Amino acid sequence: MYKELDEQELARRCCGKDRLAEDELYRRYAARVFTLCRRYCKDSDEAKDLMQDALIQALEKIEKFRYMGNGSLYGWISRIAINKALNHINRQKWRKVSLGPQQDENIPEPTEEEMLGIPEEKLLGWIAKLPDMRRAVFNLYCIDGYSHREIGRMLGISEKGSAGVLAKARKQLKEEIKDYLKEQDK
Amino acid sequence: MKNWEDIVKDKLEGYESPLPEGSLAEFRARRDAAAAPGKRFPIVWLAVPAVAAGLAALLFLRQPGTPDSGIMDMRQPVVAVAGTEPESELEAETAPSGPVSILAPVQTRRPVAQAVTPAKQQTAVDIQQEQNSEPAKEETMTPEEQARQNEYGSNTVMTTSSPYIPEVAASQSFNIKVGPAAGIVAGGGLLAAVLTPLLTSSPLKETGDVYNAGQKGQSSSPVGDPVGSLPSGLGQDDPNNHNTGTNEQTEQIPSNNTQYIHGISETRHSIPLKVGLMTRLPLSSRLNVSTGLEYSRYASEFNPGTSVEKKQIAHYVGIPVRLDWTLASNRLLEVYVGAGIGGDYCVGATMNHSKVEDKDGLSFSLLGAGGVQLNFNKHLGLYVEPQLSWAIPSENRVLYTYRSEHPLTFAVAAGFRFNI
Repeated sequence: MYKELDEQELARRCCGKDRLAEDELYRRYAARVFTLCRRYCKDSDEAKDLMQDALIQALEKIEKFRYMGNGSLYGWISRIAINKALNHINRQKWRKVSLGPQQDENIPEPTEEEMLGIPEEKLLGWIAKLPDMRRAVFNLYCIDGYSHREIGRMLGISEKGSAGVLAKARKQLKEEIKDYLKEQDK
Repeated sequence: MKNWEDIVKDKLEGYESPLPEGSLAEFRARRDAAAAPGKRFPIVWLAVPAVAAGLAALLFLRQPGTPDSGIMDMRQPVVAVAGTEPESELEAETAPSGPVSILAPVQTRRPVAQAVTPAKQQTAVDIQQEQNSEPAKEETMTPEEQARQNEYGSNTVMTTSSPYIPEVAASQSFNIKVGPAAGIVAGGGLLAAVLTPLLTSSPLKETGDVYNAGQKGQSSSPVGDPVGSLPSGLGQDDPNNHNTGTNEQTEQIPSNNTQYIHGISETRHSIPLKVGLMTRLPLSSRLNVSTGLEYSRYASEFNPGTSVEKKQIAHYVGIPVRLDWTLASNRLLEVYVGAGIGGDYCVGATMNHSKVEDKDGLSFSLLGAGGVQLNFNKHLGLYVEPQLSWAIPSENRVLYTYRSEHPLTFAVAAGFRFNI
């Protein structure tokens, strides 16, 4: 019965502290929120905690949710999760700075065919390997669609700083993809 | 044709990661725990600092007149002024002198003999004349004076290090005593700037404590000549000062120096002003190190009676280091207690706009505080904290300031704190 509820009705029932509706909300969105959290976190345990925190907070504040059409409930929950993830990153006072060797500036862009063959878990793994700031900027800009100005405000850095960090993140990911594709060719 | 980032986005946006085993059960447990009422912010914690802050404000505004020991007059034997020239008949006559009333001397850092100026010689003559003219004074000592003499002994040796601390005040100065008010520590300094002019100064108090500490026939004076034992800084305005001792700044003493010395019995201290910039370094989610740079200003006024009132201003720079433990917190508020140590150094002191050379060195205080912080954002917060500081006794403190009278100081600090 709960599986057939639309978003609006599900939110309304959650607002009434209906435990079954809350369980249904978890079943419906937990996996996607978990993916989102994995994008922002270094490891799965951290991502799992973040996902559960985000969903619990969403249930606590569900009366503030305004239905804007299909998909708006997930959009609202994902914003909560992103905010939590950024808070988590900002709380880490000592950010890791990559001091690795200078990377090759001219890494070729992977083609569409090459990209389609890469499994999602591999992509998540490479993103998880990025330093905190690079990971956050890459996710915010390339996947979640925030501008550099918004990212700068969220992370306490300048617009140019955000763009610089993004360039480094892209480069690092392209390196990973290139290495992976080389291995696949062998 | 899509670029590789768009493909990453498409792939990951719709991707549902396999959930860890038992995550639904864990979610339910955490949801139930979060819904339990015990997780709410414990408002009761706010009551403790609120009561403390209210009490502090009450004490602060009440400002009862504290016993201000000021400068006490002591009758002491006066020897020939150390360093006087031998041909002086004055010396021979002065040595076995009876008790005279002089300013309670204090031990300076270097209580060495000083060369006698004509002014000093004149002073000694005046003292002698006064003794001769009142030969029966000792015999008519009141019982109260006798009791005091017995209590403090006739060979009173001053052991304090400030030019203004009499023996009695010095012996009591390290008793634990919560003063009526204290300094205002303000990160931004705004609160301090507003309150300080309004609430300055305890009222002038004259001790009037005059007792006979000398005995006929005594041949030693605790700290040399009475002129040399005047408070350092007094007399700095006198350009005709020819003393060659360490305490060179001696005022031109009028001929009736007894009256002059009797007059210096009034002191008053302004409430210390403290302004600082504090920052906080988190060690864990609850444990933080608070530190920063703090400027303190201690102003005191000494009324020498017949002469111009002397105003001493001492400036200190200090670094407090405190370990704070967060008792409770939420997004906006934080309740904490902390303890630590602070060091301060006198960077300058003036007496009536003239520089005082002999100023405080590095000295330390123990600090304790509890407070509430209102966080505007993750980096900036407004704090209000009642705090206690105890000035660790130190020979490096030579200036007589508010802290000399109140080693244990209670203050309500308010200001802005930067969270790193």
